[in-house]
Amino acid sequence: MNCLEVRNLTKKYETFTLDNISFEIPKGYIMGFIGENGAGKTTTINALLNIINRDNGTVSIFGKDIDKQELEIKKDIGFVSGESFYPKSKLRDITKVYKRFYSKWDDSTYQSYIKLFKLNGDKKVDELSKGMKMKYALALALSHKAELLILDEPTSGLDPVARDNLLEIFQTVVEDGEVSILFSTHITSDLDKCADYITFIKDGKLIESSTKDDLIDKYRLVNGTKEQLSEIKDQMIAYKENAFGFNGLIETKDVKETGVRYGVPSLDDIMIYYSGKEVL
Amino acid sequence: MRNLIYKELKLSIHKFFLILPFMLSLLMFIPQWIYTIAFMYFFWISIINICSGYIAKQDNSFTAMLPVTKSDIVKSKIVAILSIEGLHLFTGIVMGVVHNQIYGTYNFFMDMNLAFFSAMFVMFAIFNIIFFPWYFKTAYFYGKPVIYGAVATLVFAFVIEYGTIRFAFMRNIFEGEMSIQWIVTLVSAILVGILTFVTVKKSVRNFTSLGL
Repeated sequence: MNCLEVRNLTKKYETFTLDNISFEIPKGYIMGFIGENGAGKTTTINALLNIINRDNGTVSIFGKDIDKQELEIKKDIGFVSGESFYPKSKLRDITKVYKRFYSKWDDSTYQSYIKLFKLNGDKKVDELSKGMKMKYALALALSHKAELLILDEPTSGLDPVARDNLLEIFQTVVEDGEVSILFSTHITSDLDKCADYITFIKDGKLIESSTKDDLIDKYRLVNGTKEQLSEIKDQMIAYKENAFGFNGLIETKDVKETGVRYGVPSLDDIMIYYSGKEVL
Repeated sequence: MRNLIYKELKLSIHKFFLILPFMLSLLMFIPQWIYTIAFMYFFWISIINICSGYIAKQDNSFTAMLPVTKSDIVKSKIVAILSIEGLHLFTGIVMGVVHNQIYGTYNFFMDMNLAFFSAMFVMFAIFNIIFFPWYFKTAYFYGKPVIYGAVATLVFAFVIEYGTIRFAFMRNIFEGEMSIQWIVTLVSAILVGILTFVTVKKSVRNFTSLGL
């Protein structure tokens, strides 16, 4: 069963269009939502949560249409936008207000996360580091038994240790198969560690949405001499020339035994070569 | 909706703006004054600071996380701000009545009586119908909506204050018999009801077509 289904999501702005985005997350899995800055990740998340109005498309969460059962659905979602809020308020005061909106709020769960994350309720949001702010937002999102966590760039700006800690928490959260996570980021190395599925967008267009392994299998890194480049140039997604020859990305179906060397790309490689596609 | 109103009063709006009406109501003890001014401080101080507070506190980022509809977000903000306006009116009326007990009812400008207080309700409703729908077109820019709303209330106040001094027919309406003052109250109540209804409808429509 799919926890989230997005179909043909479209949002037009004067200078940017989110164009027919479709993807789905099966229940109990982590989906990484990747794309460079400005690709439309936050716009997609805001549009699927009805925070901004969609021009077209449907969003179904837990099998329910968000346009018809928005409140009911949102009570089971934990949304962490990555934006700071109420910087001069104490965590205790914010929590007191926040928990009133959730009938499934569990104080003991909240207290256990507060303890786990070493948060102090008497501190103001401004007094927390970026990582601690994210942990607080996560503690809020996890304490009302959310079945879907939507996290917009949760690791952005965090140091490697804090990022690793957060990724471990995400993996623990989905362990029992009840919670799913949509996790947008441009730090793709985070997804190598924890994502099961990847949705990749660029300039508002969907490039790929599949399991992480399928996505990586679909592409190959390629490098060779300048002479070899001319033979496979047309099949390549993007390439960079250097003094010794070239490096590039090609679809696995276009791989031919022409003497060039092939390798397995990382998510970073795929994203970087796609971002340079237009310079071809 | 109730939770959102709680959020507004507990987290979003500083408590100072709940105390301010009590402090400003002391202005009603100034003898022989234009008492409409005492109510106008809401437009000049409170509303501006409440709106800038929303921005400073990044209220939209927090609200976006909550399971609420855009319509309820608008309604809760309007209800919270109307409550503060109500506090200004309530404290002003109480101190106005005390003023009349101390100094008597005669005032060089408009007397503080039933008709005057009813007109003050209308003044707030005029401000609201200009301010709220305009503000909720962006839920961010408040400068022009406040300025235009405040100017409209100044014009309204000038018309009733000057008219009551200058024209006998207006004096008969605002400082005449109690029966006429009750009619003013009734008409004001209907007017305030209609203006507030339109204010909410237009504000909700403007905000729902907007992204948070």
